[in-house]
Amino acid sequence: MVLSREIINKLISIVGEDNIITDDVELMVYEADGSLVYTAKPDVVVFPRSTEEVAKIVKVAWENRIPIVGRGSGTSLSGGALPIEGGIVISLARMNRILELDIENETATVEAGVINLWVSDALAKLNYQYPIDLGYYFPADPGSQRVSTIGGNISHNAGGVKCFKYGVTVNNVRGLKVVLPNGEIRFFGGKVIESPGYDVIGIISGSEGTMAIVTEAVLRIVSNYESVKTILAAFNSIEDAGLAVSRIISSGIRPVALEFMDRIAVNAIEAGPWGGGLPTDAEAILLIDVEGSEPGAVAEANRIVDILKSSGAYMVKLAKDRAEANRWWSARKQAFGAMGFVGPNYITGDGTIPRKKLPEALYRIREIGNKYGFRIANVFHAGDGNLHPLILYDERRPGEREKALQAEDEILRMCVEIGGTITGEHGVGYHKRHLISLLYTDYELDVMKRIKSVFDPLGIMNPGKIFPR
Amino acid sequence: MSLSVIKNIEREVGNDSIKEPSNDYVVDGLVPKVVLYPRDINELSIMMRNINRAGLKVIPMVNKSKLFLGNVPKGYDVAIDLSRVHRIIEPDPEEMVGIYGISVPFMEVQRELSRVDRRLPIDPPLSSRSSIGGIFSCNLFGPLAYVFMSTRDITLRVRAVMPDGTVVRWGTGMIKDVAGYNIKRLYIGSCGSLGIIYEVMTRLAAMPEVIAVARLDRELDLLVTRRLKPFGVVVINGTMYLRFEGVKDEVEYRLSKLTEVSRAEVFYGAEADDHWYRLTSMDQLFENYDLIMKVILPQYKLGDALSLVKADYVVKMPMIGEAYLGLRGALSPDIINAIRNRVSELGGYLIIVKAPLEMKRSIDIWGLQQNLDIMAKLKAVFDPNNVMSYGRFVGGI
Repeated sequence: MVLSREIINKLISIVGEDNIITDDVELMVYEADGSLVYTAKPDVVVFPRSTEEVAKIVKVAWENRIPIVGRGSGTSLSGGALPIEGGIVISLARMNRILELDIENETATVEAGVINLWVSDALAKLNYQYPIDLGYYFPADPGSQRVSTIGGNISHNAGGVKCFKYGVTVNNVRGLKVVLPNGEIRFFGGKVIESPGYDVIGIISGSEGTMAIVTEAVLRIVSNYESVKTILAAFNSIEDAGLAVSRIISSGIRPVALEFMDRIAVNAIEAGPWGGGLPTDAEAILLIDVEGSEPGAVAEANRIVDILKSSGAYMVKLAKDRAEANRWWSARKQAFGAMGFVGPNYITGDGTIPRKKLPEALYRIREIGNKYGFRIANVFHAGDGNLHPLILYDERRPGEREKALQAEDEILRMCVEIGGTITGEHGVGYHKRHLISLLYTDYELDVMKRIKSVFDPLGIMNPGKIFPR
Repeated sequence: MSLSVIKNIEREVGNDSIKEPSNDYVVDGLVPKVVLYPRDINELSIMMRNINRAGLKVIPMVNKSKLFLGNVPKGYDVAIDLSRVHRIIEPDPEEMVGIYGISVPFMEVQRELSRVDRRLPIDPPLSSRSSIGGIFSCNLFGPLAYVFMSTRDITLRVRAVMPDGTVVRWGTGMIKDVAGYNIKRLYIGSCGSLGIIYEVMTRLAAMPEVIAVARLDRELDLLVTRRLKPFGVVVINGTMYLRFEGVKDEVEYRLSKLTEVSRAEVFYGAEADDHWYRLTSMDQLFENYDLIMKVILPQYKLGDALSLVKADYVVKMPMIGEAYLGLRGALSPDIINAIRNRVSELGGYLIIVKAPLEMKRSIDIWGLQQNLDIMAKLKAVFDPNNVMSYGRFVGGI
């Protein structure tokens, strides 16, 4: 759609000349997101600096039935930030203030454009001021936490490596300030563990910007433990690694993080500048964190070491200090980016499976890779069953991108077939909307659409996402 | 109420699935015209389809242990007694998840899970007499939520019968699942106003190597308590109980830190766990007090809120910022409103959990003022005919 000069002028009057993009070349930056598979150009991008400005922009869109797409850092891997029908992209990037760190009530209040890691960084600085305390951090830590925004995390209900113990984003949100599609500003929740009424925070979280624009959030923060122990284990077989995961979890230990990577993923990481000394000859590695008091964490780590060894690990290493542990974790968190060293393009898959089905899932992924002629690396949040197959392809070869998408499609269908789901943390977005009917009946999807209509009766919020057309 | 509806239901369900109402089914002084007693999900679905068509007003129940919770109904034609509808308990200890039918008692679930060294990591009020359905539909939880999160948070999947009788499933049962809207979270805590949950699937926790519950004769400051890293804390009329869990070395370390700040009597193992569930079930409070209020606050403001009310019985959960207060006799609406306003200024909420009928008639028990329009529209998506627990939820929806 093409916006009139009058609309553009209204938007300028709200955000000012310096906070709007209308130039065709500059708009190209906003025609893609982290998925880099499809493109769709917005008519205009605006950069509000307050909730009130967002509300005024949204009101203009509402009155003129213009599509709105909220955008943080644009790291969505499902096409969630693509303006499929054009319209206004509202970038929250300049609403990036940490408004309050409330240690007494264990919350952080932030604007939606705050980068995830900034919250923990800000809390760490506070710890320096008060070294007597153990300090706090924000536990929802997606792999993209260095770049993705809190608003984006909430919209996609992002996960992270610590989900197994601390839950996904929605479990760590106490309050939300949002702008409804008609321009009304609403606040839900507070600094409290629950509030009366329906869980509106829960329904907006993960709704992928199809209901409202999140502008501020009250987040739960958690305190550090005295000690964290990190364990690295290498296996000659994927099955043994899967067995070790089951045994660790069954033992009663609650690891903070439990991550799996296969040989292709490890080799890609180690080929680049983020190598962390991970064993490149292993078929699979596990990276595990436990936390507690010093004697408690040591005891738990020792039990895990025993389980790993008895499950067939050929190498088990306890990080000798935090520096070594941080190198391993830093390497893991760069896994997606590292794919650039082993292939020109890749698609990041995101399915969840029952943990015990991991060997079967990986076998079938390998078969799908062979069928299409692609190498597929696997990164797996083993604690919570979230699998990220990384399909390596070369878009310069005609038809290869389409084939890679077909391979992803088959993998996700396989996840559903073995009892899982099509997305664990990246969202349905644009790419996977044709797959949602594998999980829900028409009746159930219709209920979801009617819930959307409660918030967005005109259908202007991030149109073309989640639901099949 | 139209007799033809009952006749229609009679034609499709078993002989013993329709009962005469007894005193057990009275809600806030109202007697239903009929009690439906479905044998299974199919019968439940048939009943709801007919009830919805006729626009009858329904209140679902299992053990009837929380019928006092909610506003006075705006209508009550049918009690649906779910106590035999779905009694499964299916733990999957390897995946750390479990599936339970709505009518299973909570403590029975815990007993079954303990056989495979697992547990539901929640400690809700009235756990001693509640069904799974009651706990999950009201999102009840206790002090363990500080570590394990709320009942809503650990729920992975909900199976339900919609008010029109359609059987639905919300969520896939995976810990991480962002496909579609998170409707299961709407159901947990909806107090039977959106449909009838008949099965839930949740995360489980393993039984820890050691459980210890320490009893202190005084209450520690919140910040001091937090540094001790307990899994849960409850203070009952000034006596503080801290629960520690984990491997032996971890629990020993925490208890040694506790002795640096206070004397304590410590219970271990099954004795400690039993003691904990007796405390957090709050049976004494619910049996002996006519007026029970629940305050929910930012943790550090809880003390300020408690100073507003002279309660006869106080169960405080400082780590999660909640308390249940028991009073003998009623309070006037003006006093309730004054306390509520002050609690609201502190950033919290006050819910009247149980109250004498006359008092309930003059107040909104939930006290929610904001976003009621959205709540009403959400209810209308599921229950456009207002058949489910009509008038009992927030704002009288």
